[in-house]
Amino acid sequence: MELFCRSNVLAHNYKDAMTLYGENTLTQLSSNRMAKKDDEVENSTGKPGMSPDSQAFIGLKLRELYDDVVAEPVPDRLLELLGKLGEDEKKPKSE
Amino acid sequence: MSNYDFRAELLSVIPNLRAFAMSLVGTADKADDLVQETLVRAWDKRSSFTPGTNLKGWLFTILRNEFYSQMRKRKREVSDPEGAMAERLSSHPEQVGKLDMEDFKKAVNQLPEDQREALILVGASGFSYEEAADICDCAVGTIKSRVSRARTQLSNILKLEGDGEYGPDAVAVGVMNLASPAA
Repeated sequence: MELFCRSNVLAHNYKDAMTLYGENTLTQLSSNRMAKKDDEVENSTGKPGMSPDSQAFIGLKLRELYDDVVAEPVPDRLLELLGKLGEDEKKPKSE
Repeated sequence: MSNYDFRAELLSVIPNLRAFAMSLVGTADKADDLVQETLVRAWDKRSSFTPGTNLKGWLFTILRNEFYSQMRKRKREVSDPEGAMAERLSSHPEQVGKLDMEDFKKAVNQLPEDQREALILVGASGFSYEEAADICDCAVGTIKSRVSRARTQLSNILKLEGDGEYGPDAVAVGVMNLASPAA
């Protein structure tokens, strides 16, 4: 939103400024500005300069690592524990 | 929620709890100990859980708290973070086909604890930044920056970025956003 507004202002003043400063200077100015905007975008999404390929690789590997464990059967000892948790309620133990 | 339902719901989250626990402690045995402790605690305080709310997040919070309180205890008893780390880093050379996964695992284990857990919660467990912030009891912005730093560091450890042949591309970055905020 803010970016758009600023670009409009920029575009609006562009013609006037061009007659004052010459085209080259202006092109440089505006590309500097764009570069700065790009940096801000990267920082806000939190991926400074990382390529989409690298991100995709990390994302896939991370899920693979995690899902390998998720896919394992629930160990017996945890299943037994779950069963016992219910028992306590039904018949309060006195031991 | 009846005890029966609650138990069934606990059961359904166990695979995810184990995966998260593995990322914290590294060995299956210790991870299962942690999950076991989590289940007992969750059962004891089940009346404080509101049915219909995020049980997975609630359980992850309990597991994480349990993990950190154990860490604090252990630090007081034996100060051997190196040993624990060495164990977590142990790889299995016989799994030749999985070698690249082992490399990746090692790289993940090199991340600082807070970055690793943020990355796992958002990048693998499927929590939103907001949910991860709740679980870690910190600000959303903190989670975002931890995840971001974790990704950057992983990329550096694994040398994913070549000699600058990939330029930063803000548009593609937006499209390829790997964070999956929708749980």
